[in-house]
Amino acid sequence: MYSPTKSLVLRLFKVDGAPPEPPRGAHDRVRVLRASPKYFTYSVLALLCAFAVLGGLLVVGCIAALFSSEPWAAAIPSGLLALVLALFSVLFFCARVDYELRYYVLTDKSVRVRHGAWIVDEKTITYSNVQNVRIVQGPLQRMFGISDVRLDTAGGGASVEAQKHGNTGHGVALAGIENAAEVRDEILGHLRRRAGGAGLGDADDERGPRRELSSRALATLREVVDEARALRRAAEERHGGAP
Amino acid sequence: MEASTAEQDAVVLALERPHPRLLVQYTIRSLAGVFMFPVLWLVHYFKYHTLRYRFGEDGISASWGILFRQEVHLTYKRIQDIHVSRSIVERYLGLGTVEIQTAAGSSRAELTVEGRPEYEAVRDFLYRRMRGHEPLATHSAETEPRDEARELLVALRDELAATRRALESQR
Repeated sequence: MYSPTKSLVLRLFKVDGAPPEPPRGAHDRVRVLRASPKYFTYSVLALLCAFAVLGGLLVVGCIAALFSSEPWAAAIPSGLLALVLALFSVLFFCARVDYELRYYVLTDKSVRVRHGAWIVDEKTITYSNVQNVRIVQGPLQRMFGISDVRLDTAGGGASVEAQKHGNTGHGVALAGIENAAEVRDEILGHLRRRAGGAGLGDADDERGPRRELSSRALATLREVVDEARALRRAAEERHGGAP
Repeated sequence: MEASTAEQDAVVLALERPHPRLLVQYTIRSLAGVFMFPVLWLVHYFKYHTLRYRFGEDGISASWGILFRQEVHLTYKRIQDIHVSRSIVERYLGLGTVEIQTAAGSSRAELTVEGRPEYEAVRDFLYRRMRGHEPLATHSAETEPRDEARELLVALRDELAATRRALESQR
């Protein structure tokens, strides 16, 4: 039942669901990571936790209504319960689609993250602009052995709302991966090779400091060379003329 | 799809106005405001008609507004991240939004290129000009750019050596 619903919704939403193409250009290495299956279990559990209180209250309400003398008393809590269950199944479906449509593309220069179905969201950053790498893991995530690897850039502060969710700035998040330490090491390796600059749009100094001569200095140098040539000719002529 | 880099660049460099379908997108967005619809729609209507993009050699600029005019310029090298998002409305209209973030510290994108079907070309165009896209320099002689100053100095050295030899052989 899930996959026909999914393909219908994706067709309706005009989502192609394909992995993003890696950033253009020559790359030594392209690696596409996906969220761990445990990430889906984790999302569902988080959903269940969020619904537990509300659902529990409504179940208690239904049971209490059974003992009530009023014949209509059970209708309100059971109706609400049905509504909550419907909402839960929709959110369950969303969690599944969100899990399936997560792509993290790592190359030797940049990272591209695409996710989402309602809004298809794609971010591309280069390692040169990464300010810091973080691994974030909540207690539930630790239970499942997954964590988020976040790469922050200097791209401004996040909104207060986003900061509550641990997102303190711009950049990308590789959410729900199992091999966070290994991915972090790979990213740090790339970062070290691109260590130059502050990631704030500095001119690329990866070639080391290089100072160009001014055009006037170059012109003078050319004159000096001409002068040297003339001097050589003069010396050779005297040599030839007076042996 | 697999247009050459030069073709793609030409397409992006020529971009100036958003696609007319952006007005449809704006209208739908304004409808979400229910009672505020007339006001929102008017604001968006003027934004659509005054919106101009200019992709230059070093940077990109955008301007819009009729009562409150806005103009944003930024250089490609200062781009921190490129964010492409497509809402369901945009997908139906075949458009996309490219948000460009610099380190200026605002939580929203400093410059947004919206309402173009060429959002992927814009993304690739910007990515190629972003800092850190270039391959790491290998210090081999082949990849070094031509260095005229050094060539001149070598010529000077050779001339001086030949002069000295000529003078020495006179004695």
